[in-house]
Amino acid sequence: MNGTLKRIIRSAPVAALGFLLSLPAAAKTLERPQRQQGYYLSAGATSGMVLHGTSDGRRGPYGGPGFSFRLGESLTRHFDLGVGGGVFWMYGRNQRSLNGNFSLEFTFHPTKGLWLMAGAGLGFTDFTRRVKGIDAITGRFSGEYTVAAGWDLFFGQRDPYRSGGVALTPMVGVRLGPASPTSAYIFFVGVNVTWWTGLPKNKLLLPVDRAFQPQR
Amino acid sequence: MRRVTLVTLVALSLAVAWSAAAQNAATAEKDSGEPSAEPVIVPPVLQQATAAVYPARAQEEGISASVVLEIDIDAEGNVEGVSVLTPATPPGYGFDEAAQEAAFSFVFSPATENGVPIPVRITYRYDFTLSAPEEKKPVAEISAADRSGQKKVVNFEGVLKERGTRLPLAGVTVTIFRGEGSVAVGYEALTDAEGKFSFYNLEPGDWMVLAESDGYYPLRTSDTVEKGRKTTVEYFIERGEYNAYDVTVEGEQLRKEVSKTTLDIEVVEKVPGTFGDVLTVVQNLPGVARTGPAAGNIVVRGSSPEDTLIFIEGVNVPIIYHFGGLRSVVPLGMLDSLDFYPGNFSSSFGRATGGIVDVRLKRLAPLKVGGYLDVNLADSGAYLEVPIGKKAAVAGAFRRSYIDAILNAAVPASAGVNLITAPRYYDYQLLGTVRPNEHHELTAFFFGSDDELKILFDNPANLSPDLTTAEGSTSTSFYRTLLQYRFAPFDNFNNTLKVSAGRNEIYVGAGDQVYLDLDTYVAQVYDRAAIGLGRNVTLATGIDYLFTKADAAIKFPALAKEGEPGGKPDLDTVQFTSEKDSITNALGTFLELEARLFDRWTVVPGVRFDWFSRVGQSTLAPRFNTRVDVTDQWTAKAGVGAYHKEPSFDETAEVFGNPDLGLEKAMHYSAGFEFRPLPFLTLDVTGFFKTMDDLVSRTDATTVRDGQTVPLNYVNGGEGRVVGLEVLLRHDLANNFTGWLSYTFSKAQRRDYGSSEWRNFDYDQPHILTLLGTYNLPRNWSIGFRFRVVSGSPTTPREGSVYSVDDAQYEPVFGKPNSVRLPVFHQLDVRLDKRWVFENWMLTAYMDVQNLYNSPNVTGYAYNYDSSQKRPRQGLPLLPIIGIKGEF
Repeated sequence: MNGTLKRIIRSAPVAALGFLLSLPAAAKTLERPQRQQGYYLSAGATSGMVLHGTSDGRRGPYGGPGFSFRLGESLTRHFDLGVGGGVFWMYGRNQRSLNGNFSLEFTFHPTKGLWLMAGAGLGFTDFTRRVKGIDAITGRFSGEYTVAAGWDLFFGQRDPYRSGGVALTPMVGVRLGPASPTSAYIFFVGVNVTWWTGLPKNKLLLPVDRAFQPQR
Repeated sequence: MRRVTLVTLVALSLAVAWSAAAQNAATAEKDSGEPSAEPVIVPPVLQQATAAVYPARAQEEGISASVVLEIDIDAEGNVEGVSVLTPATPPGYGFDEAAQEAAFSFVFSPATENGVPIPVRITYRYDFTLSAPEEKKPVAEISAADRSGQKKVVNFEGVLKERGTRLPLAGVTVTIFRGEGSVAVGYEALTDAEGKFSFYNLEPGDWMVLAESDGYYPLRTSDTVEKGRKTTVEYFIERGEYNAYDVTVEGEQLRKEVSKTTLDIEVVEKVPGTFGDVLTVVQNLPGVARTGPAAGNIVVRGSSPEDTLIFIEGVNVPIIYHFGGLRSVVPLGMLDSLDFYPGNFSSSFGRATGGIVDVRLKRLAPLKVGGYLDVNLADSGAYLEVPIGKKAAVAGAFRRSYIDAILNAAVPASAGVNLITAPRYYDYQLLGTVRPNEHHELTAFFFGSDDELKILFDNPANLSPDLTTAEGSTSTSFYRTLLQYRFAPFDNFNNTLKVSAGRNEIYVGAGDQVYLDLDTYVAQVYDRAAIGLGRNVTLATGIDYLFTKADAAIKFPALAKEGEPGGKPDLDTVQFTSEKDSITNALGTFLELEARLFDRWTVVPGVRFDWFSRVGQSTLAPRFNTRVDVTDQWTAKAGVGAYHKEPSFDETAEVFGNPDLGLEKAMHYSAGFEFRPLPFLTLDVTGFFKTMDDLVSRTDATTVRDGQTVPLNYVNGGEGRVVGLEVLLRHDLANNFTGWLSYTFSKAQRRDYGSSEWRNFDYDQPHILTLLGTYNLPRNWSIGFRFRVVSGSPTTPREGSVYSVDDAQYEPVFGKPNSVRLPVFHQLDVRLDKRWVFENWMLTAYMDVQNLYNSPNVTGYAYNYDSSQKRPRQGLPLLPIIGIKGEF
């Protein structure tokens, strides 16, 4: 990876912060009910391809299965904030690796259902290469940066006053872990099941019969 | 046929407003048992209404709907604002917008209170119906008539509290209503000081309840009134935001210092990279050099760390950080704010030539029993505060680390170190305040701290070739009791007396081979009286007395001083000394005048007299600060002053140092300006120049003492100079953002005794840039960042080595002291906080990610056996820290 790209990747968190700082902060504005509202919990299976950069040159690409999760909350109609992570087990000819990450994630919803996510956090790579019958293992902890996109396909009938719901979420993304001695660049696709809790009724614009339901 | 029905819950609105007076009267009667003397409120009456435009698509599809609006009516009866409380069903046809537009054209007769027009807010339902309107008598009138002859029996009462804090909410309107179509009835009540409200003579059945207040989400629920029974409820409404500092507004006192920054504790809690520790945040202010991640030093304007004093409510403490910077020894819950003076501080402070950090305790005035439990990867702490009546309160806190457990797991076996007692610390505090009236305030504060570390080295020779003891340990503990009495009998006079006493115990050593064992009793008396001499002149005077009695046993080699390259200690130079009941006194008095001239110009001349028994010297230090408010936005400022301090204890010890040493001296000069273009934005630019004389400097000379020729060790022969510029652009909390940009340019140099050349000071960092901020996001999230770029610190290069036959090892050959620099330091830290609000408590979780992009900052170099090769020692890697805090 050249220096320019490294600098771009390193400056990504700063750009994300700047972007977030431009957000308006709502106080007590009541919101129209939406499906992507409240807290979200998303988990599912992924499949990825990894390319390693090592002191001996590039290794890969080769692939394997993985697991990912996301956890957070909608801040506004268009932005979410949360954490996420995942693990990949990759197997190739005479080489294998275990890659994982845990990141802060910023999500943008340009339209209903669709989301675009950028994340930064801590990642690890445990890369094993078999040379002449001996396992050579290198590994590292480092910064990890992820961009991904997905679509929440909600189950159930459309209810204009329903906040939250359960969705099937196909997604695709790229995870970058530039570090020495072993960098990892992962392309992944996956499907998650996502549960949006929705907002409590006191924060929603609702008709009288729903807004004034007894407290539980 | 298109028909628009305008009637309907006008009746409700009017009834609500009309009945408010009656309900309030009922509440008052219940509370006092006497007939009410509440004001008579006459509700607004709709005088002119404009029909809304029926949405075309809804009309075509034959859809009708209702919209509940909130209408703000001014004292003239005009509509000031309209908001949708409950939108139309189904949505998307434009009913809400049409109703709002129509409501804006309404004209009311104004509501009145005792005949005086007042602004009010009413709830109004707008019905869109395709059928002809029915002429109905407003239910409110029927209801009123029915209720007029009844005995008032409260059958629905409750209390309204803030969710999370349990604080009662006073002055909030609670509306109870029900009805269908145009048949509706409703009443209002205001909560009293205890958050209580009540309604009387409600008909049995289900009622809808609405409670609203500015800055809060509305409470909307329903409850049932049963015949012959009283319904009692407890409601909680949620604040729009729970970021602790969004409601803190404090008046600013007249400023008199040239260089002073005040940090509000709640503001700095979320600064990334500080673990919410206010004292660590000081290191991000202008004039403060960056130190190592666990150094715990505060290096101010090119002065050595020991030149800067840190006070907790005026009490000088031996350490302010556990283990050199991990956490400060007093938790956040006990503190109120922090004042930082990088120079030119008032004559009420003495015995320091660098800066002053003055930490102020919280002024206890809790409304309820409250506290918190804070759990993170480093330690856990608890805090509890309890009101005792309305004039007294107590608070207590305790904190204990478990870094020992983490480090034991983290230190690899190859490290050659076994942690017997891995770093562990605890601290404790007890605070009590009594304020019998506004003239007297008595505060008692007991606090202490204990740190301990024990290590078993696999190979102690790695530390020093002559070291044979495998076990090393260090411990620092102290406690203090402070009694503070503030007496303010008149507006123009106040006196504050502080008396404190306590003990410090410090031990560092490795078995019997090397150790430092210091046991010190400390007592301090401080009194400051200020009297106003007319409207614009205040005279302040006081005394500042410090007593210490020390028992010391020291067996140690010579250690590297400032400007000297570090290395393995040479145990051949170990010397021993012990002292018992060594008493020292330091007495200071000060006089300071504050004069405000022409309402724009503040002059603060002052003088301080100090006497130091250990060096047998006294000093008179004049100081002068001035500020001129050139315009409402621009302030010019300047200051000059003399400052003194004693050498450190080891420097005046007879064996290790020179008992004939005198005071170190400094002169501070500063000038600058402040610009406040916006109420929340301040630009502070200060240029400074500091000279230091009689600095303690090492010498190879000898002297004759008690008939024997002994090493002189030190003389007051060093000097220093520091010049620089500090810029602080500070954004106070506004628009959900708070933060600052701090930049320091400085050049700090020293000239050692016997040398003609100036060299760089150990912490000379010409450029220090810090940008930090915290932004409050919706849903009680906040995000903070800190970005730093700092010049590399000076270091002394190794130019080779020579083999020592005696020691059988290579001795490094050093180049010129501090003649090269480490690489530039840069690092980004990010912190994310999320608060969950429950009815009776709140939970905050945070993630503090230090060095987000894993910058490989170099903190020094490690050399091989003959100094022919070196590799960089890197600082903190990317490090995420998580923690939770529960508050109640």
